[in-house]
Amino acid sequence: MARIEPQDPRRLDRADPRERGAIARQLPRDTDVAVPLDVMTPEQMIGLASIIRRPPELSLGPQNVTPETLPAAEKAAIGVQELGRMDVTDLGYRIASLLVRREQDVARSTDAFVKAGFSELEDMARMFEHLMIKRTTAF
Amino acid sequence: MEKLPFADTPATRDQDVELLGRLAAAQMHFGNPRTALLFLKLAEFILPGQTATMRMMVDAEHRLRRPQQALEIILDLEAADGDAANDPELLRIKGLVLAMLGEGDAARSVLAR
Repeated sequence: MARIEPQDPRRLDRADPRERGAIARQLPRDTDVAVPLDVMTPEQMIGLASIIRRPPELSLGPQNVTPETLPAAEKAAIGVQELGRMDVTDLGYRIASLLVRREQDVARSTDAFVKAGFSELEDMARMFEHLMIKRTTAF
Repeated sequence: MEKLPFADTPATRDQDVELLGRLAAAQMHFGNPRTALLFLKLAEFILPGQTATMRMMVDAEHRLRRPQQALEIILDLEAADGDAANDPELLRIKGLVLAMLGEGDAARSVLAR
């Protein structure tokens, strides 16, 4: 019976760097960097040449990535990440202050969606209140 | 006199709408478009006519399988913002929404743009 050798994760590290395209991966996005061409494979040279010839409006650099050009899903993901970085106390305070500010306006509104949204936000504020109480009483 | 933190000013309106947008984005991210839509409706109530809010509402209505409402917001958005008519993401949703409404030919022409 043939013995199946377990995959050694370090095997790739020992491989010839030209075979695993390490140089291409290490290249920064900025293309005006001196690279010894004799250590590059033909595929890597073609790749580099195509990056150099790419018109500036199609540049892959981070300078072209602005909030306006991002797809909606990525924008939403950034929003979620920013929320995740916020402190619980800060977020709870912001939501509570929003509720205090808008309570009277929403009470005057006849829109069921607005009232339901406000109610959801009140639930969220209660959750944050609970979290803060839990945090302050924990020892 | 020091301004109270709960005073209603244009700056606090912007902050509130931004916060509600982020909360809505989080709800969408975690697969809860209904709550996201409620937050967006509240944001629209606080500061009406914001294109960013309307775009997210289109997405939420589409995910909630409410094509008629999504189409109405898309048409409002196109009327408010000229660039919206050529936005690929909005065109994609518009095509899908028209297809859900049984408007196959219109959907095909929108998706082919």
